[in-house]
Amino acid sequence: MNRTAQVDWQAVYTDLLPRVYSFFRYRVPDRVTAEDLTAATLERAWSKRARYRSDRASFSTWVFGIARNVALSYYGQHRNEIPVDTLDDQLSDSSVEESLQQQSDRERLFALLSRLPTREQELLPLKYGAELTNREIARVTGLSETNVGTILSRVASKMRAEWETRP
Amino acid sequence: MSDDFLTILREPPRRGFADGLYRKLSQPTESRAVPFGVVMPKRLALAVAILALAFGGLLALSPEARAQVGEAIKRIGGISYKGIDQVAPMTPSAVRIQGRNVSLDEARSLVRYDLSAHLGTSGIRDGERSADCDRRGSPDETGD
Repeated sequence: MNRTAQVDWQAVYTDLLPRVYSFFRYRVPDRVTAEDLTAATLERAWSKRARYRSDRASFSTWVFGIARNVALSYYGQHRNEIPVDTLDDQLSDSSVEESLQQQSDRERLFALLSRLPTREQELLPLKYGAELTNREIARVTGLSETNVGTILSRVASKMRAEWETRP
Repeated sequence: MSDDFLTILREPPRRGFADGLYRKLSQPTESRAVPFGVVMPKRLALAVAILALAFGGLLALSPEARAQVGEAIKRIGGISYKGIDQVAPMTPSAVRIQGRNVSLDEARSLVRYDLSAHLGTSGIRDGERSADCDRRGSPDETGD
């Protein structure tokens, strides 16, 4: 039985592209790198689509498993090469002052994320960038759903505390 | 306080990037495939290595396979080579005496000496000694 035949690739692309891209925006500071990693992920998913088993995981879980590997590979090759002050400007219709504020917030959040332990650095992008549920994150990472919930709750509290102590 | 601040890094991809990637993924697989020469050597090398291992294992474990391979090597170029340890002694079935082929028994009756002793034990091929027999004739004729 061909389990991949039921995947609507157009819908998948429309749904997953922004989420995969956002996932990488949490992991790398510049847009171009995020685009490269997004393209690598979706191309790999596309080329390996015959290996997808719908009875094992949802398609998004499968794709984010690939995205996670792409990110790990990227970090393996570019360890210690990611400055936190290279977040590029977010084009916005808002005023210059608001844009600068947004840019400042983004840089600050990225700096906070960069200081987290590796596991938490993985979980937050999956939760807030890829918008996966705790169950889906558990499937992607191999952790238990309870463990994922506990870690995310703890790290969110910690991040919030640091965020509120605005310099 | 909510966790909204944790979502501020979330953003949509650029339209140009999204469209470009979609076009790239929509291209036929053949045109995006890695050229044959780049991928196949690795696969071929793996296949050849596996075959060589299997062949070597077969030769090592099976004497029959070794014999078959030996035979095949001897037949290279359409030429067969045969190793013969011992040549069977040849027994002449006919000799040529006085211009005609005769059986050994006939020859014995024609000549008046022991033909076997004259031919030796190594045998004779048809007609090989005919000239010799014709020239010598019988022992009486030569005066022996």
